[in-house]
Amino acid sequence: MTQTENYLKLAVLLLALLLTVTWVGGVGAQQTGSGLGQGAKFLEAKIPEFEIHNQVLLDGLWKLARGPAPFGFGFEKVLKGSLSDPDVPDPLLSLQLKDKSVREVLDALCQADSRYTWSVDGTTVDLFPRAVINDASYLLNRQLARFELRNATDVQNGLLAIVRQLPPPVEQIAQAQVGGDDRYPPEPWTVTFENLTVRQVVNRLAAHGGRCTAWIFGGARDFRAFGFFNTFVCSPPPPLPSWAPKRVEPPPKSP
Amino acid sequence: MCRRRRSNSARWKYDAYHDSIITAGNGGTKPVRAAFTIFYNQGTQSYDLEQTLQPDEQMWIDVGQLIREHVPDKNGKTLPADLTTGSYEFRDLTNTGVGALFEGKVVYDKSYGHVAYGCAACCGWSIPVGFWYDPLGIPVDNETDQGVFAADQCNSGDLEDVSDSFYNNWSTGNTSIATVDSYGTHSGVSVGSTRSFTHGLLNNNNPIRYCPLTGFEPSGGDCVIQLMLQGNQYNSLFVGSDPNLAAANSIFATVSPSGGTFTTTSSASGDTFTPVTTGGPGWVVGTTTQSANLRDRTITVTYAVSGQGSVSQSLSVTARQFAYATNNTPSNTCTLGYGTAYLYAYTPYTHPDGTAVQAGIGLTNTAVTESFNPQPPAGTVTGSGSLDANSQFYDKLVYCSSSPLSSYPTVTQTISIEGYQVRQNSLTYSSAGVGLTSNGPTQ
Repeated sequence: MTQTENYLKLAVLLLALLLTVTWVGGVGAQQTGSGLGQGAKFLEAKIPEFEIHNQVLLDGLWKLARGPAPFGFGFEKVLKGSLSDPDVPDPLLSLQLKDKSVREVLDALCQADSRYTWSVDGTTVDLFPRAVINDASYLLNRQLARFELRNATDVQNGLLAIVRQLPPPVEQIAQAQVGGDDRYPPEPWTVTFENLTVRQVVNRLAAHGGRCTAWIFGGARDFRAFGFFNTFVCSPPPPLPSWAPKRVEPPPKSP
Repeated sequence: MCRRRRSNSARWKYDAYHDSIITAGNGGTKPVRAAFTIFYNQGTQSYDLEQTLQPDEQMWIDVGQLIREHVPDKNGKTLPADLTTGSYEFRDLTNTGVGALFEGKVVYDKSYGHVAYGCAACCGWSIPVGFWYDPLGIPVDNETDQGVFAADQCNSGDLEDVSDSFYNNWSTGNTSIATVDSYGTHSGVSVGSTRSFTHGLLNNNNPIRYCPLTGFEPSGGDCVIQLMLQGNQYNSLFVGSDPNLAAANSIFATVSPSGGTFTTTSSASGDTFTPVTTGGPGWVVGTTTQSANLRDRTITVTYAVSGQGSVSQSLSVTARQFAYATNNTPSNTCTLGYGTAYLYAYTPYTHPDGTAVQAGIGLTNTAVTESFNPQPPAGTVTGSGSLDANSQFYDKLVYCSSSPLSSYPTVTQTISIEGYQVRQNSLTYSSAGVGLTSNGPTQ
């Protein structure tokens, strides 16, 4: 192989890498490239069986995210116009899938409730209404050129920082939830992010509470609220109870 | 007189012309407890007397007098007034294999003064005379009873226990493996095999020779097997079907020698045993029924090694059902401007023990579910939690915004673990935030 050919191959490789890294903001099974850990290998993990019966999309997402290939997610409900408006009805879905990848199950869920699409941001899957994809004024699509967080010990510290660091107009933001656990590690957290959407920042705020944390955004245009749910599903379980006897394996028999 | 252990064929008569006098005496050197039984109505009914006889003392039974005078037996029962014939039996309650009683009987004709003398047939013991178990499986550091049986010639040769005739004569071949006490109770010392021996005297069934005593020297194998069971340190199981209960409900066995087979049982019907996925041999015990009392559930594992017998071990545990929960009093952490944010830490308790679920018992990820009536205000996200490694669960109650809040009706929150309700709260939403009032249960 000549040196010219080597250079040519290297150039093609670099170009491919550059294209991958600069692919931002797409929908469907596309990575944002902004990075949360190890990327999206979990999307290819096979789910032996996935079934929902007359359940809403969020139920299906919880079930998938707590299944054999667990992951964290953000789910954005279709917002009502006003809090006093009647609730937006969610269609009931029934799915029966076998030996599909996480990616294929997510596709099937968003096909079943076609109001939604999904993307992946590092190890967090985001499901959001298709209707907001191109809405630059939608809170979670807004861009933060620079986001600074100092000594955060609670996810609300991050939410407040978003409100304060977004350019005008001033956004209303709330946390409203019952149930679950949103604790942060006790050590104060100081971090800076650049060129992220609010959605991507919220992914990171949630992930600081633990791997596989879920966040849900809902309410109405005049009252938007988050809920955060740390889960232990991504923590490897202890291999054995503490009282299990310590087995000593016999040495292998010599041939 | 017939020296005998017992009789099941002797007859008596009583009517206007006959009467029967039956006697038994203690021919031994120690007091014996003698049991005398009259059988009547084709042997379907019995009349029982008992008496302690000192050496050389005799008891006399006049059957006619018992009938005439309605003498009650030890159970308060009397013989029917029209009874005329039946059978009787003496038993030496003190000595099983070698009897000290002798007995005799006179049936006399009251009209002509004729007297007939008789005694019951002599029915003793014969071969096979052997150990209850051969080989005997003995757990290490534990005890197992061994005994001797013999063929009972009074009962069609059925094998019956004659262990007391072999007391004080027991020994084992290797006391570093197993020891045995005077009564045949074996103790396992270390894993291995040895033999046990004993000897004793039994009456045989030769009436012509007056049921002579015959010596027997049975022996048999002993196999000391290690079987140790280990459940959680609090001797408990948790009621429910959540796979996350598996760690807390695991019981492990340590055995030697290996290669045997296990049998598992529970004192509660319906309990299940599923082999553990790692660290075995062991089982995850599944149960859907709560204990009534502490440690009333017995889990028994039997380990059988081919040709070496079997040993059993049991664990007494409490099947605990989630029953109620206590919570801390958190401070308000809302920092967005309006409302409240509380993170409640709940500690679950179980029945019937009424104790807090211990940290580290292995219930991590056990599902905590919640329901609401009516639903919390729009925008509020609800979710379920799970027990953490400390067996606690956290419940965020937050209504906190960067803009003013609205008021809503009170919401009833119901929290369950494993489907068992452990708490009901009233959640009051107002422009000031959300407050919680516990509705119990508290025990």
